[in-house]
Amino acid sequence: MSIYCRNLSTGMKEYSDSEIIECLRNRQSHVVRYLFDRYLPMIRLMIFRMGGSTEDAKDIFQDGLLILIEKIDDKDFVFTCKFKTYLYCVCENLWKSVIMKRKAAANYLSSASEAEAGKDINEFIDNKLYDEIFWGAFETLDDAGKKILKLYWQGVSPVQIAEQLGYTYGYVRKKKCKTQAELVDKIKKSPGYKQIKNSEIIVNSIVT
Amino acid sequence: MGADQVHSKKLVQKIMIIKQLNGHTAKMPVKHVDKSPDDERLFNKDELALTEGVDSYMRGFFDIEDVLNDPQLKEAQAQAEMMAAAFEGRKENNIPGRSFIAEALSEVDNAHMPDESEVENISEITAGWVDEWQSRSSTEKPEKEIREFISGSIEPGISKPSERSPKPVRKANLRMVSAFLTLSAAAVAGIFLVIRGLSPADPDKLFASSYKPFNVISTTVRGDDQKPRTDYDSAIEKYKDGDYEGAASLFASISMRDTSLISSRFFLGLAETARGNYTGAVTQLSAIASRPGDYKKDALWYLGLAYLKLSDTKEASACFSSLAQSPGFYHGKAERILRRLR
Repeated sequence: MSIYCRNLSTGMKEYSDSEIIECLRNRQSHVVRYLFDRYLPMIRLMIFRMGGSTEDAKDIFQDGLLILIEKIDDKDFVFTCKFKTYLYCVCENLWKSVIMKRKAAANYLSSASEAEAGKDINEFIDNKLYDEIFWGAFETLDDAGKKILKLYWQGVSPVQIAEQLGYTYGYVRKKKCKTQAELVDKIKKSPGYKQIKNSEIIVNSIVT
Repeated sequence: MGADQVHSKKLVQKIMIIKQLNGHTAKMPVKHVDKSPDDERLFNKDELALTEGVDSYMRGFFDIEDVLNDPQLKEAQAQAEMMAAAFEGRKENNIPGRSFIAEALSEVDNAHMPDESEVENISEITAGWVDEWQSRSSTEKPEKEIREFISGSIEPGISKPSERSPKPVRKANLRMVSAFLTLSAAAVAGIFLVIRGLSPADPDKLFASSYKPFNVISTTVRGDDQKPRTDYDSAIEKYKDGDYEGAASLFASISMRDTSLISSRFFLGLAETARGNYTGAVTQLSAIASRPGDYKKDALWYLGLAYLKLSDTKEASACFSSLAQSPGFYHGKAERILRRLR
């Protein structure tokens, strides 16, 4: 596969690790935008799972990338693992240290209410929410649709999906859209999502 | 806290999660989202936002799965732990690269600016601004300053409108003269471009317009002041400082000691180019450019330039063709040189 080929499934150009490193070394800003679009969802989900928010994820992503750029600039450093793996691990470490600091700050203030607030942060993300709604709906899709969507989310282009699964390109595109529509429909009809939407309407009416 | 309150609190948290998920993805630039004609036909605005939310979540999910199954994860974790710890110790410093990331991402934020059509009540909001402006007394208005700032920004050389001497101008004649001058300038520029396009450029001039010393980033890391500097560090510093003779000498001795050091040979080639020893540069750079590696493209570029300086346009074209065929930093630059060489 061409290292710079256009990824039809995500609308992004895909960069190989060596391409990313070369562009970052030459301070080409387009690769930062690519990395932001490509890997922020991964960092955000990791941080969600550990009690953070989208804003936290953006900050951590920037710091993580900064560390990796420093390593790229250091000619003596050799990248022995995938860029994505490094980015994930660095961001995970940074986020853990943020959590530690926040906990330490909460302990320093040491009032019962602060401690309670700290606990709430840790409980902030209920991953079952995603699992119940998104995965629950996903599992009810037909096999062909599930396979196509899984590969699509993994960044595989429709052409390659067609090759891998033995379908035509046209079928893959149509099936992908049809399955996505089915998934959205099932999510919308799921009791968890309905409950959340109803509660949102109630909360909004109270707040506004 | 009662059970109902706990339940309500958790419910609000869940809403916040969904809002974050949908809210973020709603801001995603259209160009990064697969909105094929099929998608547009199938989904309304809310459904599209939900699809984007699911896509974002699922991509993150599979990326994490991929990372957690990476056989080199433990190695990366060990290195990352050290990197993060070192970073934490000097977080508040002005770390090089921070402004680069911030600027690159501010472009992302700008790309997230909503279309006018997406901003609700835009006309009411702007009408409010106009009312507010008009309701101020004339002494309150910083009108003159703002006008001067705007006109100064657009036409820096122009004098202030109020200071312009009112000259009687015959508008029709002025328009004709202006049109004639514009056409003449365009014709001259066109002829120049045609002549320039038809005749191959002088390799020497092409070299002069394309060559820039390689942008070297120091190998010295903050906090490393106490460490003894290696010959390589010193050579890099010499190259950075423009001492190409000194750099070439040091890189040559490093390369003599260990011929497998690609970076030293690469920089030796660059230093030779910079000091005008193009034959020496070709010797070093062609060895780097002929095999895959970190410096291959950079070496090809400087090798092509060295060939230009040696008036070997055939070899130079081969280098630039190779760069023009592959994407990356040199792609466009190589294409431009090739056009000029033809």
